[in-house]
Amino acid sequence: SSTGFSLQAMDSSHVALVALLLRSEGFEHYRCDRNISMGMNLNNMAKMLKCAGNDDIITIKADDGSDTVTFMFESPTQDKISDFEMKLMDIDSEHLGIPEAEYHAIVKMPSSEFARICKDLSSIGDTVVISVTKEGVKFSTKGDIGTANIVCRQNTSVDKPEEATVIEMNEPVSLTFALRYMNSFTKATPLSNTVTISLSNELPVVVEYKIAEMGYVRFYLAPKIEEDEEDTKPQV
Amino acid sequence: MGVGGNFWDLLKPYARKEGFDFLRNKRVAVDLSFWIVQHENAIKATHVRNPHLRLTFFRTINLFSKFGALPVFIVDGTPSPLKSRARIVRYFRSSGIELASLPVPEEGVSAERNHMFSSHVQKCVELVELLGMPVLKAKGEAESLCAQLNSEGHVDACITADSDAFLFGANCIIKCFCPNFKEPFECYNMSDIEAGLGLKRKHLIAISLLVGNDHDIKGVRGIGLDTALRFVKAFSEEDILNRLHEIGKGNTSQIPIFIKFEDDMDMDGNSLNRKQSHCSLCGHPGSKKDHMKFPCEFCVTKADEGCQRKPEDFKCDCFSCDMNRKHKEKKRLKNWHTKICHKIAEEPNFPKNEIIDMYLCNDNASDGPHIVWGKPNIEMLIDFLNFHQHWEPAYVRRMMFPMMSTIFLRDMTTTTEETMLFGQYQFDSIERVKMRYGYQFFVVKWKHAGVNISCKVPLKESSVQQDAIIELDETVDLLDDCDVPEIHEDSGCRFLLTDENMDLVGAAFPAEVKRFWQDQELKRRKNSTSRSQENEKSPSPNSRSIQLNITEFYPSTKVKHRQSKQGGGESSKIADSQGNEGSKMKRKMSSPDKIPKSVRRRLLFD
Repeated sequence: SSTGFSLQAMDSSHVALVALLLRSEGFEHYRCDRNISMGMNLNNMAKMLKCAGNDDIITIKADDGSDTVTFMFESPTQDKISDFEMKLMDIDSEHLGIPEAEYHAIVKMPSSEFARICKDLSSIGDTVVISVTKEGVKFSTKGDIGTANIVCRQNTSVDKPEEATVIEMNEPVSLTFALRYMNSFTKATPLSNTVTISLSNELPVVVEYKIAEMGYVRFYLAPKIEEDEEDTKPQV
Repeated sequence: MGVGGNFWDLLKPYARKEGFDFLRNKRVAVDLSFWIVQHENAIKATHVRNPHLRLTFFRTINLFSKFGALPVFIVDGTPSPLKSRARIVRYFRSSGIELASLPVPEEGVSAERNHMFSSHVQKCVELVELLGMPVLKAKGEAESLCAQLNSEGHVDACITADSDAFLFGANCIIKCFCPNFKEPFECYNMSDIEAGLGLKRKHLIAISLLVGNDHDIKGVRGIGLDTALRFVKAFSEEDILNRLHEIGKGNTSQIPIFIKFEDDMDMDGNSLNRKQSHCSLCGHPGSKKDHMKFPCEFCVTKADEGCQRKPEDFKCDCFSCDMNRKHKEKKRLKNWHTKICHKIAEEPNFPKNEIIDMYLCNDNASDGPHIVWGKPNIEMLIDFLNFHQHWEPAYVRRMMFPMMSTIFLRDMTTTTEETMLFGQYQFDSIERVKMRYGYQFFVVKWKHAGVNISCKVPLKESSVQQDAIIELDETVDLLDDCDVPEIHEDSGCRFLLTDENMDLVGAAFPAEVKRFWQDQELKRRKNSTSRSQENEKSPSPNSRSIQLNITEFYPSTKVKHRQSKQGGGESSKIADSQGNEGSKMKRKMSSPDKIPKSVRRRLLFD
């Protein structure tokens, strides 16, 4: 769109969703005369992008009505120019509308810490319960070998802002998620020093990593519902 | 009270914390008066009928059954005249009455204790005798007889907080005895005190004479515990009391032998010292005139230079000066001892021979020691407690059950007769292992032998009703937690469960114990097998939750997107013509396979 380059992808089981936004201001040159929606196979796209060098200038071009997209890579000294053309897919457009929502609790913490928590808990169980109260945010899991609880309290007194844990809470929240997806989300840790986790009861969680000033990548994960109603009440 | 000052603080480093099993199979002497005073102080606030009887009853059962001890109860005799006078002085001092109005009793007459206290002691003696415990009466203080029994080997320890017991000759004192064992036993051994402090029995007696004791509160004026300790240590145990006698007579030249011995050596050194003159320049022996020309042997300098000037804080280390300093030190010590002797000599009638004789007396019993633990007299005990405490017979029997089961198990180790407990119960089985105070116990099941069904129901109702009455009547005392046997009904038979010592049960019924452990081993093996099966069968507990779908929350915008496409198509006809030209050019270059898709997109726009 004219505001920027956005991407949306969903897993095959339709449990998780990723949304990527690269704003137009972040590009050296950006032109979009009309909104276009293109279906891309991400595996093929990765193969194409792997041919670029780390310092190459990338230009993505697509014509209206065309069934290909062109990736052009230029070396910094412009003595080598590569031209790759990838075929597009004809996806029956399943673009999901994500409304802007107000969340009951927003937790901002170091992304490396969040990645460590998800990795540690996944060795104990396959489900994580994220509970946010005024005391802090608690990550709990339960498995065959036992249970694990990790509590992160709010600490805004640290010297570096990216090392702080900030919790905004309007209402206590307790949700259950599959750890497998959480660990996949944490592969985005190198993109940002901090991660923002937004939760509302009975809504998907949003795990957001910002991309410099350019945009963001957001992961949406649908919660799990316990079969026993009695278990849900004490957690809240 | 015992020895004055902070005597227990002096002994504190040598306290031993003994565990729960310390008293098992030990004969212990108990100062009964101490228990009664302790009871009344502890329960002064609450309203309990005859607390001294109740707590003596439960404490004796706990001591005998739970801790496995063999108690010997010691009763105070007639207090000595000195102690009576000291007690009067103590009472006047604490009550704030003017000391001048202190009545002086006639010399040699001792005042009896108050009538209520004597009555309490008498009732407790009667109760304890009905429980089958031996009771001895002392000529004077109870702790004197406790200590004598301990030193003669009749008992293994004394339970008393009175430090006098060491002076009377005790070897082992249990100072802190907590019946519910919230704290370990605080135990003191005379051997530790001798090794650590270097004090023997007569040393302790001398200290008590100097500092103060039950019979002479003030002691010697101006001498406290530290001074007394330092003074007494300088003499040997055999010598200390004789020296005190000599000093008391006014012979202030009583000096410890080692000081006198070294004093003689100092005389020679002192005479030698006078011959030596010291140089005022370098401070070494010799004259200044000589040292100006030639260096003395102490100054290590070149031959052509004279002696160096001595530093300000110079101390000569020649032989005579060293002897001189030792002489001064001995003189200072001698003066200190002389001063102490003067203080002692100023005390009238010191030391009192009555006190020394009392401490050293080895004949404290009214009659010869006769220590036999018999069986409780259940019927008379029931009558006694029914009269004084208003307890029902069933309640008394139930409270007595742990003691009777302990006696029964002890008898079973010696005899092979199958006797009945209470004439009604017999050993049935070992129920399980129980942990108490960090130790393991067997929970033993006792089977009621009678099959009389008609009398069972009234007995049970009576017992339950009795418990309700007791709870209303008496407050639960925290000092003594009672081991009430559990009542267990199983297929028409009645059982009682008690906690018993493992060694005792093993000695009484070895075959039963062996069978129990075999059953335990079998159960453990079976349990582990079933647990492993359970591990295989059980799926992950987290699989019960239902995973929701992301599309339920965020609906598809497919229809909306199509409408926006159509709108875009309509509003850009001019751009469409340019697009057409682009398509035409591309159509020439592209392969025929792609034409249909491109044409289809174009048609879609139209």
